[in-house]
Amino acid sequence: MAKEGIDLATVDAVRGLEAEKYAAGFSTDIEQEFAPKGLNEDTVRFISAKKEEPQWLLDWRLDAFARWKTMDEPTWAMVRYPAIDYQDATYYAAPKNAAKYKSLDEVDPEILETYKKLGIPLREQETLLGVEGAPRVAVDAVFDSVSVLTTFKKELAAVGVIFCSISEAVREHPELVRKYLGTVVPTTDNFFATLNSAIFSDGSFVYVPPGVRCPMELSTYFRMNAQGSGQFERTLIIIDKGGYVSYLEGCTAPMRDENQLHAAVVELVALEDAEIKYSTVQNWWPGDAEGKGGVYNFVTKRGDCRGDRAKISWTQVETGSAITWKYPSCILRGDDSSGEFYSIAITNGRQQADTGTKMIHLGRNTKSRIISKGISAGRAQNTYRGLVSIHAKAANARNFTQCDSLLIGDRCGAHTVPYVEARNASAKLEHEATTTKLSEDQLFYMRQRGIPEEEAVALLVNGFVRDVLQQLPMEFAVEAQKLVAVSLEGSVG
Amino acid sequence: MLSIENLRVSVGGAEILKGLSLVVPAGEVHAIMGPNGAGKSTLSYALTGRDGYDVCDGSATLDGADILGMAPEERAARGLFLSFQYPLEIPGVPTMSFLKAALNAQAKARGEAELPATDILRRVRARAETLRINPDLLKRPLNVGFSGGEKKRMEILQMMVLEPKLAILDETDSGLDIDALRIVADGVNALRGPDRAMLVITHYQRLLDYIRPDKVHVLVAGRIVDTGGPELALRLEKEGYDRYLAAA
Amino acid sequence: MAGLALPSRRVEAWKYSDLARALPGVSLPANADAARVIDALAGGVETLTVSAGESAMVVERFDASGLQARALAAHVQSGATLTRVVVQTESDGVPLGAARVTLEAGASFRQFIYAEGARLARFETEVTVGGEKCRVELDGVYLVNGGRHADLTSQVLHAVPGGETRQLVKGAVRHGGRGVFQGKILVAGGAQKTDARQNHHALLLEDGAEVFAKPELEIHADDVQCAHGNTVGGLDAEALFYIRQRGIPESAARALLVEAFLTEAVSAYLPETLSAEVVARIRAWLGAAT
Repeated sequence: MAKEGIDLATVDAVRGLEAEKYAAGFSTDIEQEFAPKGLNEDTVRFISAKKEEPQWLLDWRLDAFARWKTMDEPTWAMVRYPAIDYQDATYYAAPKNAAKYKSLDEVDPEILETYKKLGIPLREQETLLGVEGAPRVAVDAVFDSVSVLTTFKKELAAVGVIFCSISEAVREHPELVRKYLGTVVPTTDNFFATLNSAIFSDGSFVYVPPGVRCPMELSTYFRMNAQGSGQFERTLIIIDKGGYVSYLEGCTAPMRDENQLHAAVVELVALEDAEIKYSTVQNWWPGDAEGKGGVYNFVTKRGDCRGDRAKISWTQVETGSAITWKYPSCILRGDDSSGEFYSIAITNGRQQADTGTKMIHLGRNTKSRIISKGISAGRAQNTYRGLVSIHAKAANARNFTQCDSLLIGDRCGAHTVPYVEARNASAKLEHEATTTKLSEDQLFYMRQRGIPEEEAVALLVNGFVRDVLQQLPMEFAVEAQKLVAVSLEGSVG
Repeated sequence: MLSIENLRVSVGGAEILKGLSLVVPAGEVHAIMGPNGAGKSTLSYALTGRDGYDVCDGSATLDGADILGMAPEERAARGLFLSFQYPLEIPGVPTMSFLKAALNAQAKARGEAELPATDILRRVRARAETLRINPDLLKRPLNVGFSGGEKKRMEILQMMVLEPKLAILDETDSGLDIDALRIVADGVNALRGPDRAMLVITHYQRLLDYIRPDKVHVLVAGRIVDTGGPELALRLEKEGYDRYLAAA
Repeated sequence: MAGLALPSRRVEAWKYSDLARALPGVSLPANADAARVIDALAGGVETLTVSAGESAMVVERFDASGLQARALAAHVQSGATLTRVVVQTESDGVPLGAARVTLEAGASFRQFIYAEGARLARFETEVTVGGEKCRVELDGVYLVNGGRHADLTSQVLHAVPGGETRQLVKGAVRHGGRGVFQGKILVAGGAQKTDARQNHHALLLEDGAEVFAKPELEIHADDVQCAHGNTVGGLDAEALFYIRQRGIPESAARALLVEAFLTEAVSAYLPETLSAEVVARIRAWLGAAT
């Protein structure tokens, strides 16, 4: 059923293109307050004070900041960009009086309108509550540095699911935050994660209690709006024994000439028999065709299968950002735990993406599966970088990796850099990679049937990424297909 | 319906069609026969607008409109269909989705309303049945892993669904066994009508036993060198192309 | 002496082969090229030109103890063929070999490396396809016992269109041994119609064996066929059972399977004496194992 839906939707989606390019490129004019420009201990204190944080968290941030000052920005990825001046940015921007909204009625109508324009009608969704057949997706809306609203909280609380902003979780559920924050991605992990630890602003928090299947999709919609600011969200998801959640994340930003920095950290913890399905549609502003502007996306995402038979699945559709540096990973600690990574990364124009995953097999009978589809067009560079590591005690571990690259045009690049480390003789690892071009013969064949060139390209590319699209929840799959088509406009002919 | 005049086409700098003229009126089926390398496939690609087939001179009109300057999809929307000698595999795009995309794109180009999805589904399934195509194939990516015979039947299915004005069948009989050939021919014959014309390109006379042409043209060295009725095909089968080749 | 330190694991190209640890107290001349450590340690580079249309073969043997470094720069003129064979037998030394090969139009380079590992053994091959219609074949077998380390590292740069690369490396590693394969295929912008296939397959014969692989593609042209495959794992239990069911004892069954696995990479272009020697060495190694 879902498959048939996608097939028909493919056609509709690619037909709906017209001239719509980056539909999320508008900005919203509202009153905002900012941290003073620059980055120092005072910035860290400012953010912590704004959020009325306890001392332990301020200390945690300050430790991270001290550490960060000793670290060097990594250079191993295949991305090139001018040096970032970390003093020339604002690390906190929030709508005035935000983070205090108790209900939809209090939210600035401009903000509601923004989300509506982005296809997230917060008000309508809540109003539809109880209407049969209405989509049930709870949304945490993060606008620049703060979460402005989380919907469906009451309904979720009824089954014990906590879904709120991380700032609220620090206040309301400090024991959970303290127990898990930084345990998957330590503050010392890497340059960008350490930076995030020092100055993270907002993000989502999820806790699903033992044995509970979260009754609806949870999603966070990240919107960067303010000029000259970055976004540094922190997301923490804990699924207790036997629980389940499907979580979606969407990201957009206005078209701006300057480069905006986005350095997020996402930590997932899956206890015994728990399952997390985490999907991302990343559509940050990619910059214009000449490479001016665009978001620098340096993200650390990691999931820890801490209990036996835990399962974490990452699905990502990366179409935006000028620079993408992102490796959603799984630590397969529990016996019989499993990790999956399904990825579509599309680069066009002057975009550069270096993305992939790490699967760290520690437990026995652990399984991982990696399907990566990279598409490069224009003058873009697209790299899959991945690590599969089988530790000595990971008896019977299994990995399968498939990396396919599609090149459109002769001025782009597609690269595959897998690292495979095996230390157990009963493990089995398989890796395959192919590189192909969009075939002119296929294009002609489709055009002979009357399908215009751009639509033919979109259809072929959607065919190429089909295995991954099918991993997305329905609502996202359709949006993702549209994005695939829009991202590649103008890449042929 | 189709009118070609003094068509000269070169491929990679070499002239393949050297002043070809041909008229196919509505309602008629014409066959083009010729030896290897005569330019049969070049003709079908030049008419449908494939890149690399450079028209140096001459004209080709479909219902009076000059088609040579049009994009391939524009020609298709005007009713020109080519059954490929070697149908392409389109990974990840199910046959049904593909047909829907093609039908809707053509309707849009012609300024017609799109057909409802259920009508398309019904139409495709019904045609598939007459061609004895396993309905499961319609859900699979187009032509991927299909046998040679299945691919050819898919071409005819697409023709029956898209209902073109002028269909060019390029070596449709190659790769078909005798039963499949009969099924395909039945499909083609069902489409014959006063508003439709067909150009059947073939190497052998065999197909013409099933699809009876109104006229047979002999294409040698880039030109039509002889034209006659169905009996010409029989004679070619017996005598070959030697006497034309000697003259060329 | 104020020289350049040897690369440790912190250097990406030596990530899995810690040379600084294997050669304590050794350093490089201060002006050495950090990307060509072996050349610097060899204290000189042998050069070889294969004239247009000719064929040449070099056989390099590494069996000494202590540091044994050798570097070769070869130029293969148009239509010529160079075959290089490396035979490295087990030792407590540090054998290091480097070959930098450039090819003119229509030239071929064929290489087979047999490595049993040492305290640290590393063989670097760098091929530049500089003319059209070249063919590169890079094959190898490594067999590594406990306490031994073998590293086969290669890069093939397709700088012009129409080149062909075939690479097949197979390895088998025992408890305490480490096998390393790093292979990079680099297709420059404009090198259309490049056809490159890279395969690395390794067997971990016992727990505690380690294999590290980094098969890499860097593609800057669209009309190319490039693929790699990499598998690492133990012996196929089903195949093993099948053979034993036919009455062959387990140790012999294992040897049979491993031998069949490895000899697939013993290239057909090896002269018979060398290929016989390699197969005999594989058998001896396997015999000692069981």
